Amino acid sequence: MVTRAKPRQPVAALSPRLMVEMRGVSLIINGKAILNAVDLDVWAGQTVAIIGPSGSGKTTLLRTINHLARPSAGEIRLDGERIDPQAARLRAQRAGIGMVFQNFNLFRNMTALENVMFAPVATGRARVAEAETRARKLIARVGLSDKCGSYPSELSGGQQQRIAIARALAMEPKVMLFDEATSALDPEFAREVLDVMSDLSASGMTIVAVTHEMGFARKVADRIVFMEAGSILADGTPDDLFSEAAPLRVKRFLTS
Amino acid sequence: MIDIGSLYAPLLIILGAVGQALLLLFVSGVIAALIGGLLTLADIAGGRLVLIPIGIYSWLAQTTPPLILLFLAFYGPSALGWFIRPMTAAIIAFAFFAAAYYYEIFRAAFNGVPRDQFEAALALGIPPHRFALRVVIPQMARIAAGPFIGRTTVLFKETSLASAISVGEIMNASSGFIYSGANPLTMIALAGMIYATINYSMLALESRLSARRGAAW
Repeated sequence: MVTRAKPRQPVAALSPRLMVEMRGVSLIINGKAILNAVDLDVWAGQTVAIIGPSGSGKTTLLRTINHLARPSAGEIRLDGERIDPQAARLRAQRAGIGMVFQNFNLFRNMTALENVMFAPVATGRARVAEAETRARKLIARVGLSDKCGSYPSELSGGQQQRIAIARALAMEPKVMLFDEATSALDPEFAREVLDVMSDLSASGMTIVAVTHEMGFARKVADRIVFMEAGSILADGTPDDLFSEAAPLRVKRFLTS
Repeated sequence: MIDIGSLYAPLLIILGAVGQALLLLFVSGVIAALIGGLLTLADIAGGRLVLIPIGIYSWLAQTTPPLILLFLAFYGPSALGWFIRPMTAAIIAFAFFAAAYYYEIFRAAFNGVPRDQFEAALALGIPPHRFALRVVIPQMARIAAGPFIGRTTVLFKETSLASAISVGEIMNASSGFIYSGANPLTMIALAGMIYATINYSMLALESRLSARRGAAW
């Protein structure tokens, strides 16, 4: 039941563009296959939720996209360009892939504003003044204009994660990867972060999100990918996966 | 009745001795901190092959009494026919000795920098040197400041051992006064007060600086 959901964005629909292309991606550690020849296509403007039991390889799959986990075999393309493991090339390609982590991973010695400005300046993509203007806009977009001067330790988990999203967006990424972005948050703070993710999705950003939030997967995602034991077991629209016709394994997971 | 004029010459000798002690502390401290920093860099960037010699050096420097290092640095070259000034020998011995401690402090500080930030820097494509300068080193400095100053006060106390190879520092000067008839208790108390005052200043400066940075990070 591999159905490719149509991108919702009218512009993207006119010129469907493969943003992330994974072919036969495997990751073997100590003889154990964490990923088993996975194929996955993500089209521009799509929001893909990756779900599945813990240990199924969801996070690893996400991390192979920007090579934070190096695949043992297979090929990954970002907007048609193959991810190149050579250090300088890889760094440039990673800069075009936004990533949001479960534990926010903000730079502790920098204010919220500095966190968002740092990468564009350090990679030579923007001058300081320009980076600051953009950073302030992005921080306003995640609703934290009053927190520009706060250090991560002075922010709630939800606020830290929203700053982390702004930091990733500051690099103007082609795709945003969310690795269980709300798992470390209380429900109320998770809500704030999910709202930002939904806005991003609605604005046409290409998103791949590993998530346990079935509400998000169902309402916001265009497509749900169900993983188990390092393989994709099902890939379809939310309606497909939440329907009676879904594979038994998926139904059992969703009702557990 | 104390003759004020007769205190002038001893005062000059004491000031000179404090100067010698501070020079020894400063030069050996700076060299040790540089070596400690380089060893930390080699440890972090290098492979396992680098860790073995660093480990052996660190173990040797930390287990050998500083007095033995001092004698080795002074009499070693003399035995081979090279003249070495006592101050130079003392600087070499203390730098060798203190670098191992500084290295351990820096290494522990590096380990104390939360790792999740490294992953964020990788994912953002930030060049490693920019990340090191702007994120890792400031956070290491904050973690290392207390232990670094603490270890430096210990180093300062240990520089008193240099009197054994006749470096004209504080202990050497006070022994001189004792041999020429001054009250031993007075002279030792005076030397002790000088060490205590200088060390207290270093500790106070450190706590002032860390208080000024604030508790935000």
